[in-house]
Amino acid sequence: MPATTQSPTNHIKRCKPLLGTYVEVSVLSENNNNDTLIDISECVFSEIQRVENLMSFHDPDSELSYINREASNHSCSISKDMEEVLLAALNLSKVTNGIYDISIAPTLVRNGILPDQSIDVDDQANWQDILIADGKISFKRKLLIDLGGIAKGYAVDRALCRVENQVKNITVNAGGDLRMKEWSGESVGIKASDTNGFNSLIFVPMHQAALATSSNYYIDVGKSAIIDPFTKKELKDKKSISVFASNCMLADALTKVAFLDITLIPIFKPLGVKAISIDESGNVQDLCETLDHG
Amino acid sequence: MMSGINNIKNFFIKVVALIGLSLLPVGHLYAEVYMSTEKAKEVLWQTTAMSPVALVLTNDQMDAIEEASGTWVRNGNLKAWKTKTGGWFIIDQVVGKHEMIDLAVALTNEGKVKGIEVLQYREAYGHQVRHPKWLAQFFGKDHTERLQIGAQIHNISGGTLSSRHITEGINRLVHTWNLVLRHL
Repeated sequence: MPATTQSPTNHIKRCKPLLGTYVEVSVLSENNNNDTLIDISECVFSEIQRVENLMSFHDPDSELSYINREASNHSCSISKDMEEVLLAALNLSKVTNGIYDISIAPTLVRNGILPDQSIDVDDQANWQDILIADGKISFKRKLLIDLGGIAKGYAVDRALCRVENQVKNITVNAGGDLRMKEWSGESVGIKASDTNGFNSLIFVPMHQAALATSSNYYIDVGKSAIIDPFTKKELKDKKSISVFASNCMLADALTKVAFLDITLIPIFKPLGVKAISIDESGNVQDLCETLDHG
Repeated sequence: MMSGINNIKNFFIKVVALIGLSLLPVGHLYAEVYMSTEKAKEVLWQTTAMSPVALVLTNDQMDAIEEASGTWVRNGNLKAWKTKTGGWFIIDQVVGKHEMIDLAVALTNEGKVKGIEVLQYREAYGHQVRHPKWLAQFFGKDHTERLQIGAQIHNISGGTLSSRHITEGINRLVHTWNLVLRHL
């Protein structure tokens, strides 16, 4: 009987505090030893760190902070990464008629969710006052941009794409915003929380390569990071919304859109997007299905 | 589709109920062991030699660190190693409202953070999350086995949990270096 040869499979899982949360990297390979996998995961973490250094609202030295300080005074050159994220964000604003709006930052500052950097803003300003052309950005009115609802997903995408060709499978999970190389057949546990703080995990199959979840259950009582751009009111809903998409940046951003207006989600169905909500009783609702039949 | 989700959900509830009944009297836990202390030494300091430094902070030192860092010093027993190059390798623990984390921190000979690795992450799922007993169960040898059960859960998505307790913990260690370790 001929001997069968089977390649040994190596697997590592690491975690570091990045992007203001816990970033977990899981790498599986048949060709690399564990030391090489450590090096590969190091590339993932350094790519995430690089994106964080560009897009952090909290860091006064980030490219984003520079833009927030200067773009209402003069047009500023921006990096390719920043241009890609801002154009994607503005495109989403356009498609959702302003429901998705990265200029909501001043309300988050007022509510104590984001730090106050003492920058004057015009309360009437919105996403339409952000102009991007030829690699430069300028603000028509004084405003503040926060990329908290999209940059984490972008960082996950960039990090995964940088190394995915070197491994059999990889998952990058930045505090619940995750992307897998081989996602078919995988399942994921989604956290659910009721009014009494009873937490549970609800298992669902992966529908796409990326998944992001938004919920308020980790935020202090009475606060929310999700703001209605028209009323400036915080959404204190206790449900959670999870969005599956082909990339994590889109999944991340669409969780906020779904929170504010779920009727907009079918627009993204041709892109393979699927959204589910989990209520305080742990009931899972397929948002696309409900809308199809409703 | 939804019935599939419900089947998975029901199965999970049963599994958790069984685990809960047999092993976990205080709610169930998600725990993930990422890295051993020895591996973390290698990842953070490669082949640099290091030796353990037995150190118990005095009450005065703990007060001074608390004042400088604005962070409570919960434990005066420091698990630290000094490298041949004058740097440090420290095993620390941070406790948040939802999570408890063992981490390894490397500080350079100038007290700058060289690297951080989360060694173990634990998060409770259960109505006792805010109960003092939830924290109590993390302490003591007997709980190790229980905490590892959740390691079979591969990926979790949910609202973003802030890592600010780690930031505070790192700040406390940097001040510990400035006030104590740099003089050793």
